[in-house]
Amino acid sequence: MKAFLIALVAAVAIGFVASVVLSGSQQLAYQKFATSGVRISEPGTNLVGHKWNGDPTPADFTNETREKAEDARADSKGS
Amino acid sequence: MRSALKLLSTLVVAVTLAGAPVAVGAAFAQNPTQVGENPSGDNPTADSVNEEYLFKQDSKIHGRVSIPDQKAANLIQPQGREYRAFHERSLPWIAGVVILGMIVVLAAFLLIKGRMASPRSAEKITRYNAFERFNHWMTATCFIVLALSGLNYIFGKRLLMPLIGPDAFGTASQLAKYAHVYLAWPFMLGVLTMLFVWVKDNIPNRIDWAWLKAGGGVLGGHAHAERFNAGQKVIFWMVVGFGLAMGVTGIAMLFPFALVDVNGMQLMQIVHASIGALFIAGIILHIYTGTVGIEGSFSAMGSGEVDLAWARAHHDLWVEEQQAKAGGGPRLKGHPQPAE
Amino acid sequence: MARMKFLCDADRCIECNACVTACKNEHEVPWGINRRRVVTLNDGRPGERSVSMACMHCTDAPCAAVCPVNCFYTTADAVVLHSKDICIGCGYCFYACPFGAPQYPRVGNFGSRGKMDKCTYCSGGPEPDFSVAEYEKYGSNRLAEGKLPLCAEMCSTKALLAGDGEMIAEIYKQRVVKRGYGSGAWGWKTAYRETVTI
Repeated sequence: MKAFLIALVAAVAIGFVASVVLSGSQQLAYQKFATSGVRISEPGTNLVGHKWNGDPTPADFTNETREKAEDARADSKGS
Repeated sequence: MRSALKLLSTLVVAVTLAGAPVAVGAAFAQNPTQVGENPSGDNPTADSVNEEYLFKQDSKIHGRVSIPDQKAANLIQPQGREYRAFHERSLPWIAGVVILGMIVVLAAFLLIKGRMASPRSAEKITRYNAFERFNHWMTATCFIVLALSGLNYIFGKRLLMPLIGPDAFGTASQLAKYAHVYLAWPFMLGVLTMLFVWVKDNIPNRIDWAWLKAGGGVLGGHAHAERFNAGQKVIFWMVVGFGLAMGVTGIAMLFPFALVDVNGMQLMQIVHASIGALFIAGIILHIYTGTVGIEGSFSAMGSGEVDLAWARAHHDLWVEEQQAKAGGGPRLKGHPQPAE
Repeated sequence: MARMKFLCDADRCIECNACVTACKNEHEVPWGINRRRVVTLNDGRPGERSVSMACMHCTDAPCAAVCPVNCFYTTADAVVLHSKDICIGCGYCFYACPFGAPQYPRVGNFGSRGKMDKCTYCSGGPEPDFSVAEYEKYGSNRLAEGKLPLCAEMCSTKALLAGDGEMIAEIYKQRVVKRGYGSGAWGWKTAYRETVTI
C-alpha cells in the first residue's frame, strides 16, 4: 500500500516536473515563425490592436454611434 | 483609253475592298484558336505547371513560401483524406473490437473455467521488493490514466459528448489531454526502469517452451517456471515493446514536425493509436491474471509477499533458487513438484 | 443558400501576397499564424505559378471528421467553422487537412498549445454576429455584413475568387474560354471532389 501511494505521488511529481520543463521549451508561433523584421509592438498579440483608427468596430454600433459615424461620413463628404 | 484604264483600276480597288472582309473572314476560319488566342501568339500555359502533372511527379504538391513556416509550403496533401478514413472508420472498429473482444473472452473464460485455484500454506515468500512495486504501480496508474484519456480521443465524441454536452466535454478533454501529455513522462520512465530491473528474468529460454507446450495456466497444467513464466515474459516484452513504441511515436507528436513531415505525423498518430488499442487489450489480460484470474497472485504486487505454496505451484524453479540463495528459510515438506 | 468556395486562378496570381496581408489585418491575426499563404510552384523555372491557399471549406471536411471533440460545424453557406471554446489543440485537423489550413499559437503539442486558428471565410464563429467575443476569437464577420472575404475582394488581379461555387466556376470558365488557357481550379478535386470542367 505504501509503495502504491508513493508511486502515485511520484507519478504526479514527475508529471509536474515534465510540465514545467516542457512549458519552458514551448515556443510561440511568433517566435518560431517570425522573420527578423521590425517590431512596432508586442509581437504575438495583435499588431495594432483593434480600433486602431478610432472608428467603432461593428460590435460597438449602437444606434447612437451609428448615427454619429454616418454624420461624420456625411461631413467629410460634404467638405 | 485613259478613262477606260481609270475605270478598270477603280473596279479592281472596289472588288478588292468588297472582297477583303470575306478574305479576312476566311483567314479567321482557317485559324480556329483565334477566339481564345493570346495576342502574342504564344500559349502561356505550354509549360506551366498544373495539378495533374504535379501529382504525377509526387504524392503531394510542394512549392516555396516566403514565410518562415515551411510546413505551409505544402500546397495540397491528399493523404489527409486517407488519414481521415483510417482515423474515423478503421480505428474505432479496431480499438473497439480488440478491447471489448478481450473483455468478452476473459469474461467467458472466467465463467467457464472459473478462477485458477492455488494451494495455500502458512508461509510467505517475498516476490517483489518495495522498489519493484513502487515502479510497477507508478507505471500502472499512469497507464490507466493514459489509456482512459487516450480512449477519449477515439470514443469521447461518440460516447461521452452526447451525455455531458459539448462544452463540458471540451473542458474535460482539455484536462485529459494535459494528463495524457504529462503523465506520459513518468510512464516512459517506469517502462524503462522495468526494462532494466526485470530484463534479466525475462530472457526467453527452453523452460518457457516447455511451459507453453504444457499449455501454461490456461489448460490447467502447471509446468516448471522460473521467476517469470512464458506468459509473464510475453506481457513483459509487450509492455517494453509497446511502451517504447508509444513513447517514440508520442514524443514525435509532442514535438510536431520536429522529426517528421506531415505524412510522418499521420503515420505516427496511426501507429500510436493502433498500438495503444492493442496495449490496452494486453493490459486488461494482465490485470485479469493478476487479480481475479489466478487466486493468490495479487498479493505479489500488493504486499510484495506471496504464499509459499502458491509460489511453488507457479514458479517452482524460482522458489528453489531463492531458497538456495537464502541457505534454508521456510521450506515445505516433500519434493518440490509442479502442482497439477 | 450559396455554397461558398475559393478559387485561385494561378494564371493571374502574381504572388503579391496582398491577400495574406489583407487577411492578417482584417482579423488581426497574430504573427506566425497564417490563415492564408501564397505558395509558388516550379519557382524560378519556366511555367512558374503561384497559388493563394487557405482553408478551402471542403465538402465533408476531413478536419471536422477527425476532430476528437467535434468542435467543427458547417454553416448554411457551407463554410467550415470551429469553436475555440471546445478545441483542445490536439493537432489532428492539421494532419487531416489537405491544404495545411489549421494553425496553432504554440509550436509544441503539449499543455496549452492554444486553440486552433484557421480561415473563417470572414464569417466569424459560433458567437453572436458582431459580438466582441466573436471578433477577438475569430476576427471580423464580413459575411454577416453581406460582404465577401477580404482576401478575394482586394486581389489586385482578381486571381482569387470567392463566392458561390457555381458562380465563381462560371466566371473562371468564361475567362478560360476567352483567353484560351487555364491551369485549373487548384485544390478543387481534393476539396470538393469535383473540378471546373472547361
